[in-house]
Amino acid sequence: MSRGRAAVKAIRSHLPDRKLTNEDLAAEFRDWSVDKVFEKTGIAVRGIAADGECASDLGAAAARKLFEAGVVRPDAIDFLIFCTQSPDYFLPASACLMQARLGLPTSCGAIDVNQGCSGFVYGLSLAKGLVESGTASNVLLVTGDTYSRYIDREDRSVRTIFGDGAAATWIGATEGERECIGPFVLGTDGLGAEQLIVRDGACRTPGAAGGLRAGPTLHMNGPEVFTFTLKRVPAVVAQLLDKASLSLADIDLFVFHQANRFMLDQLRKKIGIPPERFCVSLEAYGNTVSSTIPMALEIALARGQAGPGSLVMVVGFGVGYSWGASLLRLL
Amino acid sequence: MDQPGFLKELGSVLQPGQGAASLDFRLEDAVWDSLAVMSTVALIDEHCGVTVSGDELARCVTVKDVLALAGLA
Repeated sequence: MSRGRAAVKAIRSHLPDRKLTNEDLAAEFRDWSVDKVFEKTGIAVRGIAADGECASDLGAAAARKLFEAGVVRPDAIDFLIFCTQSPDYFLPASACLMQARLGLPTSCGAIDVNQGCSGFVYGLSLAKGLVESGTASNVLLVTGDTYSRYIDREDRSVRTIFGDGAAATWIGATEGERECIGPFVLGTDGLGAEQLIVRDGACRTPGAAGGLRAGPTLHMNGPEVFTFTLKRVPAVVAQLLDKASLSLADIDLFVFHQANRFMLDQLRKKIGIPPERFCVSLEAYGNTVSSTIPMALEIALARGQAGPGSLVMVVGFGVGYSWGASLLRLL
Repeated sequence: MDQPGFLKELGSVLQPGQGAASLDFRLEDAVWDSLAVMSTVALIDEHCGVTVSGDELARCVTVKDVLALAGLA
């Protein structure tokens, strides 16, 4: 197997057909207007998975878009990473099922990674390691979630923000010595676990312990998560710049996890990033957890905000608490 | 930011269009929900250079408590 530098080669995303608009929310929550929801979140519409539609279905659809576009063939993929917190089953890994559905070779490695808003950056770090160690040549990193399954209809704080969706990112080997992914700054603070959690349904708390709805329910302490991001993210950006011996001015585009517009605006101002080099593009999909960064990158590429040679900083942060940041040199 | 300037900004979060917040204003008399708490965390972070805990802020009863947390009392 030939070694080379790992690079992001292509991205495609997929959203479910069913949508939740601000008009739908304003009709349900009478004291909220369409304008107020948009002003605070920056989101106009969210994808909501159909009954029986899983994150792996959305992820497989995103991957098929890559194959149908002819940018990479299924038989060239030799490692599949599926980053999700909405697996099909406790076991087997959804990635194993996805390998068969996508017609990937049986010589293809396949694993699930359970990580949320930082998951894309973590996936990139794994993919880079696999490619640059010579373990794999073409890694398919699929991110996908259906948080709507966990959301209480009455909980407007999360219902307005999260959307279902998936993205498929092809990371492959390139010629040359120039680093196209990295360096990385990764970190964890498990003391923040309680602030964004689906507590019931797994092994620690098998049965639903009450709450507003039956079944696993997403709990988010918005103000505490916001405090965490204001404290952590500027420091992570500074660490990454220091590690790469770069300054803010050297970065062509900043693609942060698209949590919500209010949070993004505060982070951008605090760090001192000019708005024209900072992506806010969650209007048509909402907070899709580990898929927001590849979705925003796909949009930025389509809009010409980034292109071949661009240096892009990606930063993921949230549930865990977990965070990760890296630099991408686009091909 | 000085105290009068902060009270003006806080007033626009608590009761838009009603002017500066008074020190003894009880937060429960405004819509002191998670959005208002986050807006106030942002206000304190941006203008006072202190990132306060959302939980601590949510426990404040009056505007005077918020000022103390922001280091402006």
